[in-house]
Amino acid sequence: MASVALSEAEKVYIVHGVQEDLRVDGRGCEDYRCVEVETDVVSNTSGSARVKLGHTDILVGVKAEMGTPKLEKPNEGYLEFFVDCSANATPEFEGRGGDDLGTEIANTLYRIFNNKSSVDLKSLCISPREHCWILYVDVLLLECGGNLFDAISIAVKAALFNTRIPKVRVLEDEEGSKDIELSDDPYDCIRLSVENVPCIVTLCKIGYRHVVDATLQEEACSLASLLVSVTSKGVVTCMRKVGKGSLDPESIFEMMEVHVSK
Amino acid sequence: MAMEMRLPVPRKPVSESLGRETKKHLVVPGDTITTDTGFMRGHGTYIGEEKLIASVAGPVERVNKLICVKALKTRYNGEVGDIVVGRITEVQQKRWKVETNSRLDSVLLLSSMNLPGGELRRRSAEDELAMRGFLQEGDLISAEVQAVFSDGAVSLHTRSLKYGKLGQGVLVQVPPSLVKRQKTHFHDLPCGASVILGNNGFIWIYPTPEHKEEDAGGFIANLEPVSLADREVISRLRNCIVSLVTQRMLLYDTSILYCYEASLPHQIKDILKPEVMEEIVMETRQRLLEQEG
Repeated sequence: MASVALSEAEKVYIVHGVQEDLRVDGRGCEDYRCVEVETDVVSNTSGSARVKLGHTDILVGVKAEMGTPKLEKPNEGYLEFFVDCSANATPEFEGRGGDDLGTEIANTLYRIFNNKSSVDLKSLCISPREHCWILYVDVLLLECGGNLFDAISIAVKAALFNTRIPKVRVLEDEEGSKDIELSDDPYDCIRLSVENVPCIVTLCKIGYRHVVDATLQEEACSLASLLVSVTSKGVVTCMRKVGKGSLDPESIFEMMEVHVSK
Repeated sequence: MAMEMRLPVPRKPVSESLGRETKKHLVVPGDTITTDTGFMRGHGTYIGEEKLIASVAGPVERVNKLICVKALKTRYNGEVGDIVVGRITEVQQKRWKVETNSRLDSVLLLSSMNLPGGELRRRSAEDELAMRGFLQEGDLISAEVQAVFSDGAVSLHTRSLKYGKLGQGVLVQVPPSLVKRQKTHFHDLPCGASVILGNNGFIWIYPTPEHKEEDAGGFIANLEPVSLADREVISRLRNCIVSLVTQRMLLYDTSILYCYEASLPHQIKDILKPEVMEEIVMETRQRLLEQEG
């Protein structure tokens, strides 16, 4: 992640503040910053969203293309994630600097969506073993202000909600070859149901307590953080630990309760 | 506990609510300022196609025959005598490199630094080896600009007991053009915290020390926990400064204090919401206009 240099005294101030449940900008340990969500921002995609969480700015575009299903899942379509950390976010991302972080985020997104209930993949299938919809989800990091994973998961959910996939009809010729016909009406499309798409909640451990929605300065003071992706019904789909520090098992249980309540 | 989501709203232009009498001539890069060739061109302009064209975005300032454009969002340009707050980025042989939000890193020479104890002696080789003991990478200092080199780099000094390493507190980064030039930049606000308004846009908010420590010279950092009441004042001041900056108001002790008082009815974390921000900055603006007129 992009890091910011802090003096020892500043770190001590932040850690003591978190112990007393008053962070630098007046929030409590479990308060989020204000989120701005905008959908349908990019016109030549099937769906897009832009999320601003404090200084973090994420742009997600979803493109639906036809392709062949995977061999082990012939009745389903699938999602492909690609994360681009643009050099606009911080100078550290210049050139190939942002690739590591990009692959880490993409792998996390794959893990989150790697189950049956998040997105109805069967609805993406056009004809089994031959044609299906592949959704290419491209994430662009415009500005990095802390708490990347949460913002990205909200943006992906919003973009998937905004995605319009045109309806297709499969026509059979006399010789048996199949012809795909796309409907011309731009409003005749299927929309994905995103009720079960999970959102990531990141908890950073600072001192003895954990905080939600850490800024860059707070992330610099924290040694470890726990990433959990939960759906609105409270089903946990993925869990990951980031950072060099160690987490007490009891504190992990406390954090899970906070995650589920969010 | 719940998250608040909202749609983005377009920002309201400030001039609607103000009704200023004299409208400033604002330009963007590429705008023609004048086709009259009798003017001398100053900073922020260039001559193209026999016209005077602006190269930065900002208001046009005219002094007799000199036309210049003062850029609104620039890096800090040092002037001798400015107070700056900076962060140490490198420790070199006889000097420290300090980041002050300018085009080049500023320089703090070992000979321009106060030794602990206030001694006055020639710096020896042991002092040079002990440099990292005084200031490390990441430390924050307050200093004054001693000189400006020809390439624009700034040389700092901390030759007074009021400058030196900063202890616990909060740093806010704002555009340098929003910090008003005043006689003193060290303010002890009556609400219970102190603030250093660096000319380079780094604003340092810290709890007011109970007694002035004359002998330490500011090197020994006080790492005791700050009380909750002080923390609330500091957080509220930080949010007030952020809201003044979003509404492009000049920052000085009176404006910060009025904004603090206007924000008291709201909770600290609510101040960051756009509508609350507009409300308190509007109130601050009103009070400042009343005070002037």
